[in-house]
Amino acid sequence: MTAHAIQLERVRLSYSGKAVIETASCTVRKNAVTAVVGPSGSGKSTLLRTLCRMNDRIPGFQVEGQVQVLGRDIYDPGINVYDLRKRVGMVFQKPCVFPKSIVENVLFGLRFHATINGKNFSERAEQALRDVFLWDEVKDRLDDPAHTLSQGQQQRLAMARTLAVDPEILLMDEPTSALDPKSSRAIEDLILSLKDKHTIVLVTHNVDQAERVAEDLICVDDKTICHKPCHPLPGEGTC
Amino acid sequence: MNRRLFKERTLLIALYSLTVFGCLVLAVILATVITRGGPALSGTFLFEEARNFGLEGGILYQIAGTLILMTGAALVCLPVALGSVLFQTEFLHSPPLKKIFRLLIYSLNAVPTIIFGLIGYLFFGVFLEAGVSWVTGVLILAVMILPTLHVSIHEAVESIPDHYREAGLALGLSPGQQMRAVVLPQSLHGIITGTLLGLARAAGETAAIMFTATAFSGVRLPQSWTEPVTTLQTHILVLAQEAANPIALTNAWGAGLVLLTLVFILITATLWIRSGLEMEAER
Repeated sequence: MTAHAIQLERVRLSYSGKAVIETASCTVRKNAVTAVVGPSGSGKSTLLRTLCRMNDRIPGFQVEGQVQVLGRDIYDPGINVYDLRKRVGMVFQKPCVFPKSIVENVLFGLRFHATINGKNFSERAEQALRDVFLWDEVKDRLDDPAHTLSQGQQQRLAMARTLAVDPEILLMDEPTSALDPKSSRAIEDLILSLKDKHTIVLVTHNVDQAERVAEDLICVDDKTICHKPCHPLPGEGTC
Repeated sequence: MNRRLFKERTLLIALYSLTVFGCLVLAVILATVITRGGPALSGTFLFEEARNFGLEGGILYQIAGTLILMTGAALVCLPVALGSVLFQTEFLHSPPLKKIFRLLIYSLNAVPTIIFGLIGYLFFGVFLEAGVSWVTGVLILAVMILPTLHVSIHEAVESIPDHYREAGLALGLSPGQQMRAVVLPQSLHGIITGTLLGLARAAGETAAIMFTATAFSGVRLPQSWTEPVTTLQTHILVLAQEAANPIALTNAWGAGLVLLTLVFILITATLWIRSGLEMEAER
């Protein structure tokens, strides 16, 4: 059984033939937080979205090389992309909640995947909200519109919605960039609490944040990547 | 500076004048229909059937016929329009094909309604042997309002913020689940608006249904698929041809006022439902 959740081998990512990442080979450890850092426009988000095939709908997007996620080449024609996205969840930069109640937002994806009854739905919703430390803040107003929550709470709600589907890997694309410092710290604490159960890949432009929460670092720059531990032992280099 | 101010003021006056002119035209039309048609309105006029070729009695079956054709057309058209929009937005990925599809729909919108009537009658009435019947009328009107519905629903679907779609995709929803969970609920206002606008368009249509679905006198509610109906539009047209008879003209204006009120109710309902849904979406 491999200790790697994700493995890239000579991966080239391009839009209409124009390379965003020329060559990328790296691994992501299971149950660890890996931060992807690099300057704006370097292809961090493209790389992250590649891991759950979110770029499939972009015309002209092409992947070469091998992208192994949870032991399978995810660009193999036989792969079930909907099942993949269920196992590899994604949280976006801007908090996205649907114009529905708080509890309906948590159950949004679960309703389509789970074969559980109504009572268990509420248990799963509670568990997901507890996982993101939101339960105590919203338990008395679960039926209120989700838009009444603050930006930070909305981002945690979006994470609860993703966690409710029970993904093994959690991809986060700059989840704190639209939030104030206090909400950002809350998300960072949350990331640390989730790594026991999930493998987390976090894109951030904030190197300090990467050092606070990540064990491994993937630096994306100049169409290539380098992969180092975040807190190197003496004699090991950093990016 | 003064010259610029002068230019701005001239432009403003021109814009005001044009707006006032537009409103005046509408006001004159409304005032004429109300003052001329108002005297014809009464309980008898609204709830009794026409007698003596529309000179006596009311327009009950004309109202019923108009409502049957309008609702029937919307019921037939809505699933087709919704299906074609979802096919175009969710399953058709090639940009050139999308362009051709859009061009076809817009071309359909530009076809004169009498052509719809002719082709519709040949296809539904003659080829499918429906004859001059309300079913032929419903089908012709359904094809006629298809572009209105399609464009309105398409705009609503296209305007769904991309982050909603991405959030749905990232949760592993299949295209069908994505449609049920994201696309349809988020474009509901467009679906309702399009349907009501289509209904309003169908309500105003005369040429396409005159010789294909309607008869002037002796018609009540259809008892079978192959019977014609009588509508407000054809009633107005035939009565208006009796220009020498003042009673016929008053009844024609009265029927016009009722038709206008029906369309007005639809448009008001459209705006009301739309603003309600928009407020809900913004909450």
